Amino acid sequence: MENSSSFWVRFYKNYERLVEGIYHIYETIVNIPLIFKNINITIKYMYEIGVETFPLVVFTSIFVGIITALQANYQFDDLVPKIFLGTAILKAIVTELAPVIMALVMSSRYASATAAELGTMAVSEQINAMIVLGLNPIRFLFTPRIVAGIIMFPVITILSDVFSYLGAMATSVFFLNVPAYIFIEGSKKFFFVFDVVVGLIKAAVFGFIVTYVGCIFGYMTKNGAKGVGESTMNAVVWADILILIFDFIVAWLLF
Amino acid sequence: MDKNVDERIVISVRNLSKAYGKRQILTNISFDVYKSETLVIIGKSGTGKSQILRHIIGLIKPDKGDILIYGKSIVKASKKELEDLRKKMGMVFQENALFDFMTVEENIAFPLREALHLDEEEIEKRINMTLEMVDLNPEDVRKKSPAELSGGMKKRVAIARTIAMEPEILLYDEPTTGLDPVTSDKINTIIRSMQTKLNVTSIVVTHDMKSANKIADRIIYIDKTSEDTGAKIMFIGTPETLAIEADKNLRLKAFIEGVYDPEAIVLKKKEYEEKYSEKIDLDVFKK
Ligand SMILES: Nc1ncnc2c1ncn2[C@@H]1O[C@H](COP(=O)(O)OP(=O)(O)OP(=O)(O)O)[C@@H](O)[C@H]1O
Ligand SMILES: [Mg+2]
Repeated sequence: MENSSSFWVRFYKNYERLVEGIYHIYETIVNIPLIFKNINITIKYMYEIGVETFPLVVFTSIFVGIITALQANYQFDDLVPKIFLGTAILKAIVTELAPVIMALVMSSRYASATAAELGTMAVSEQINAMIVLGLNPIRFLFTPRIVAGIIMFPVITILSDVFSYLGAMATSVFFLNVPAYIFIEGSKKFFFVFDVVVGLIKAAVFGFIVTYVGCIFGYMTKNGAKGVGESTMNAVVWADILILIFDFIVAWLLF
Repeated sequence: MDKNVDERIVISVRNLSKAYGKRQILTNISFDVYKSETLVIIGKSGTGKSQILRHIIGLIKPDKGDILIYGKSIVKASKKELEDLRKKMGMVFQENALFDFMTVEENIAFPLREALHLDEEEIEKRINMTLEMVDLNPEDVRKKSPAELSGGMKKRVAIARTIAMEPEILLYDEPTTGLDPVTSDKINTIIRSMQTKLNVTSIVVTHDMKSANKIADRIIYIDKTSEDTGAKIMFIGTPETLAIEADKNLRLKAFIEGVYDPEAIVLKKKEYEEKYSEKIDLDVFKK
């Protein structure tokens, strides 16, 4: 009896937080029209997400390109003509690798930072102070970040597409004896603009997930510095899990 | 008979109870605060004074009981009603709660601009006025970030930010803790003048008996009799009657005189009286 009641109490508590967590999605979206009143806040986050991460994006993307090329070449193993190397690599990069890897990289960088920042605000009562002063914390803390994420993730993904492709091409030319014109020729085969669009839709969804998960875990933080640590960790874990789940859902809906 | 609500009552706390898990924090707290009255809540650390303020401003919901602001329940209020009620209220948090991603002037200006929609000229005026009120030089501190301020300066900026909103009801959570005696006195004077000049109704939580005596119209003392019963109101009355009550309640006496073990004083007093066979004043034993 004792055990079962405490289980249900715990279950209810988790459930309650889940409901709260999902409810704030609605409030975040409702507040989107208001971002134009303080557009500089949103621009600041767009800069943080899209510009300050530039070196990280370039570095990660080049390596994604290099590894994809080596891996594809290994799997082709003389069975598939090398002209298709470019075809396979470009498709893999734009539809899957660039958006997903960028999202995972950004979840470690941005979801964690956001959860820590909002978590600190929650435990130091800054969020309560906002509420008491008549400032809607969702409007000022969540919405600008989420809008910035939805806009800038596709931008990062395009950058990543470009640098991954260049990395893959350089690898093919210098290590795999595939001349650049063949690689490019191959890329053009079976290439659809739709593939890029799918990648960008994924990126926008991931942009929402990473920023929202960072915000909500930060916002619901309790219990001081330890709580901030837990929120930061949970934000990254849940952002990553949701990225993979929604990667599947988007692919399933669009292909 | 409850229909006949007393119009002078601004805040009415009724049978408020709150527990966290199995731990009872507050038990059956009831009191009223009258228009332009300053009510001081005293009590030991961890008894739930800050929790009472959070309930009053609607940041947490009680398990039982109700809180009425101008006769309207803040517990049952809709989101819109809650916003309207909060427009009339201000709170100075124990930990200051300054926005650390903003400068001092932005901390004060942000809610004035976004919640009260004041024009820039008025905002500018209020920034300078309130900072001067709390004895800070606006030119020195305006552009600083909260991290660059001392503890006492942060506290004063937090007070300035709250009074800049010109609320009708002010809740202060330990406004003088961590301040030097002179600045403390200045803050006490501000709290007093908010009341006399602007008719503000205030609740002040404090540990500082000197400031309690200076600002209080009435004092509430809360205490818990054992670890798991939750805090109850042990005394409510004027500062003068508090002293009388303290002679009956040793824990209260210990609190207001700032001694750890009240029984020791009484015993010591008896010893001395026996030795010198004369009545002496308890004050001698306060270090
Ligand atoms: N979110 C919470 N979860 C569990 N217990 C809590 C929570 N918030 C407060 N408490 C408990 O409630 C009690 C009262 O806390 P509160 O902050 O109101 O004390 P206080 O009287 O203001 O003390 P102090 O004078 O030190 O500020 C404390 O024992 C604290 O442990
Ligand atoms: Mg407190």
